[in-house]
Amino acid sequence: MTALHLHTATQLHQLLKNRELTPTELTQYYLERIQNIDPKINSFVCHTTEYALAAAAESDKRWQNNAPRSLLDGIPMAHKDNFCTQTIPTTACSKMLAKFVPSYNATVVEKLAQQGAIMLGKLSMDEFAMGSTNETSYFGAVHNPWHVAHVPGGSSGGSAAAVAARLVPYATGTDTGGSVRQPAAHCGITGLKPTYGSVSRWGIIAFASSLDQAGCLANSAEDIAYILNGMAGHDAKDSTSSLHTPETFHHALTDSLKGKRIGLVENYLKDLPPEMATLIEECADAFRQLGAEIVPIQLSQNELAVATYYLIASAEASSNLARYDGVRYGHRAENVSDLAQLYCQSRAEGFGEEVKRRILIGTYALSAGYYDAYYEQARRARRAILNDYQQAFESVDLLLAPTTPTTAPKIGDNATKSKAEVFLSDLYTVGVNLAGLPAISFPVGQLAGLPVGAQLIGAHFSEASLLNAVYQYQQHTDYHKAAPSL
Amino acid sequence: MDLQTLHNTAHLARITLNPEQEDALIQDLSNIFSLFNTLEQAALSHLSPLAHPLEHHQLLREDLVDSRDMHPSLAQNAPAYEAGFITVPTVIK
Repeated sequence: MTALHLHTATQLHQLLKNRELTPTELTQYYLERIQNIDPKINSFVCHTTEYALAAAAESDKRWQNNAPRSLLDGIPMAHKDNFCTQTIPTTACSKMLAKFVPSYNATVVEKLAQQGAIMLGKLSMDEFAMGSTNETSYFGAVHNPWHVAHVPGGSSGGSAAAVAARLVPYATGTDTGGSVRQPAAHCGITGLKPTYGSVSRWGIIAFASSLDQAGCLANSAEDIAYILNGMAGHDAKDSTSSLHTPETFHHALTDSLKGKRIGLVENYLKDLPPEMATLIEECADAFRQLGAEIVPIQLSQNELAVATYYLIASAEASSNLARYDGVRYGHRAENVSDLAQLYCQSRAEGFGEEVKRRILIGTYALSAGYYDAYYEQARRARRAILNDYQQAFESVDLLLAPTTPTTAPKIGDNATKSKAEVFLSDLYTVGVNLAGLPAISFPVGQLAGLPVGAQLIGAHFSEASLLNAVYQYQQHTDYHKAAPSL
Repeated sequence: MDLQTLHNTAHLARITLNPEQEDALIQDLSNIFSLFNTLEQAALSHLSPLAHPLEHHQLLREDLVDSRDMHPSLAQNAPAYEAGFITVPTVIK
């Protein structure tokens, strides 16, 4: 029999349905696995064992009464540590919030709990979601389960590592500039960044409000369809939440790809290492064999994306993070003589170097005399990037592109590069956030033992179509079934 | 980016800088802003700035009074709390 942790969430649901095990047994299995395996990868920052066992006992009762609330009822999972969880510490992996305990649940946390999800703990991330390696976490670097000397990606690095190591069947993440898709690619799993506004941001610790989007990571597109059913939908508490009515996503998983036009983004391939480009082209071939038409396409405005993203994200971050002043909550410096010093010293001590750097970038870009040259120009470039995608979707249904320019770098490698060089590693992901589009990363092979991911990008609210395309691909390939040995 | 600009920016951001790291920070920020300068060359003046990717208007919720007493739960996160108030260093001497 296949080991329990190698099952997808959908398969675990079948086992619960067949009465082959109970939610409590399943929860205990994963808790034990976390205890044994996580010290090798450091993906969890908080264990919620008591909470999980209590929730599993409630789920046991619902299953005994043949009344599970959803496919997720009784299935273990974990949240990225920027989702507020009532009475459970939520730190965004920053010293600033190391002792912060929210008095409420994020909408996503609440919705998934209502579906019967069993939260096993909170997962590491880059501090305030600023980073792409999970090395900026106050609680230490997370290790890639495929090769522990390498990073898992970020900022949802703990989520990706935990799912890849099969410590949880699925996890939540947030994607501001690729923070779900990039770690999903580096860890060989499937990760969805939904359309901006389609999943509530309420109760998620803000980084860049016009870009932040909650998403999820799992081991198949099928799982993600069910998880998204539980996460998506309008939330009156989030003023940017869309009024669009979400579909029942798993209903779309039967559609044929015949007649679908998929644009292969050719200008993304030209700078890619040849062996990575080959894997993306093989993925395109697989879609062709499934009936889709592959069309070469250019996204010429993407050359503006990295500069535009880092200007807008840093500007919004400098504003959002102004709330951390050492007064109402968060780290407070000691031995200060006045209020001004309290603010400056608390922020100096509470924030890590990357966060401070981005606050300074944003503050400078928004300051008098520079606003038009930087921020306003970036917002015009954002329009150009959105127009570029909209023009592409006039001729194709979906876009196929690499998720990352390389496989996961070694821990510490980025410290030897300039910051601008590090930012350029986000070249293929940030445009999607600037345009508010949905995109899904999925594994398409490996190079030297490290996973490679491709992403499909769709027009606004095309999640069902994206999930179906990757589901069809995963029915004919096994890359998503590969698991690291730990 | 020079030292004076860095100090002004840090003051606006309310962050005390470590003097030993200032030179490296100036180099980092200069390097990042040279990346941003690529936007200057782009012909974008014909485009209007985009604030929201879906161009939706912000939604307002109903203006309702909420009578819940959040004091106890909010107080537990306050770094210094006394007699129902969050305390700070003396402002007026």
